[in-house]
Amino acid sequence: MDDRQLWPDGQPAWERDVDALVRPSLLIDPPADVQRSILATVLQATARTQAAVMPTPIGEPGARSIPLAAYLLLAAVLVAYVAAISSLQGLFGGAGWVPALFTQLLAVSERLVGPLPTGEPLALIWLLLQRAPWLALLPLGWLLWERDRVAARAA
Amino acid sequence: MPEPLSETIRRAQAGDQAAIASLVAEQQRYVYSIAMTITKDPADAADLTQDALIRFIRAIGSYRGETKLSTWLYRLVVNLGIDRMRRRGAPPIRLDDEGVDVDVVSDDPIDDVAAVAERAEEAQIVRAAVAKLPDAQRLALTLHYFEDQRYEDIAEVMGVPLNTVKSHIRRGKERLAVLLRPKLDTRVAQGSC
Repeated sequence: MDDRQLWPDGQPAWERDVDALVRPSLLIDPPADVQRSILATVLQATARTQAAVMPTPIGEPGARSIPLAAYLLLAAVLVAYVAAISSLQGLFGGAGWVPALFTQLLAVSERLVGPLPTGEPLALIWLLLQRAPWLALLPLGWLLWERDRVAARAA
Repeated sequence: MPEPLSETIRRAQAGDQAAIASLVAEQQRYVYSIAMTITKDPADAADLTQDALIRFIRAIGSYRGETKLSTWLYRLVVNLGIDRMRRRGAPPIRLDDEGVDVDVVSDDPIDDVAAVAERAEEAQIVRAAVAKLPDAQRLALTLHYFEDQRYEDIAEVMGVPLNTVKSHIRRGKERLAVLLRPKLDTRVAQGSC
């Protein structure tokens, strides 16, 4: 190669010609559909990886799942409470123990699992009973109906 | 060669999908160009590009800035590409030697390039000539033409000494000057008119 012809920056003329010819051709863009496909695949793969290593968010109200143990504990409290209140009611013949029972249950559940959203079964039942107290008679109605059915069959 | 902004890198490390998409979009052509240099096949190059970018994004959280991010990425592409070709049983790619010289006399490059010129665009002629170079020279030149990549960066990407890179580039250009003589003469003639 003839290095005697130099550009002001010291680069030989032949080398500059080669650079000017080759440079634009060596940078190759993938076809547009390949570019889109690669981008989508990379994003999908990396999003899946990030989701797999992402810690489960905690402390978000409304999004927290209540552990089974809390439900079991509530059920145990409910049974104990019903037994105690029922026996007291039976002793003194007082009234209004059902609303007191639910109020206490809600207080206990709030202490255990925090404020309950309205979608929770216990809060929903309490709201229903507040708006339609007659629903509380349904179990009694079912018991009476069942007793009559058994009696009729025996007769 | 565009070095990503540090803010973009930081957001990508935090898992920001927009930043990741931006990184992928801006680096894709460079990664694909290296992949084409190694595989010489568009479909293989697309596969290699995709594989490299997925690994790059998955590993970006461990990037601590000891080297340029682009250098880090291109080294990953080169290593993956060499490994892929080796697993396919292709001749080993050696980046630390000059490879087999192109015999510019017996290969009759001028006629060959002239024949290509009749049916192809300028870029295809150049790529055909570049494809005749040994692997190491081809890769060094490709990186060299990425918007004035420094010799030191190329040496790091290829994992060879600085002087070896300079030699690859110099000899590669000399061979291209011979291989592309008709095209260069045409351009010079057009420029002097």
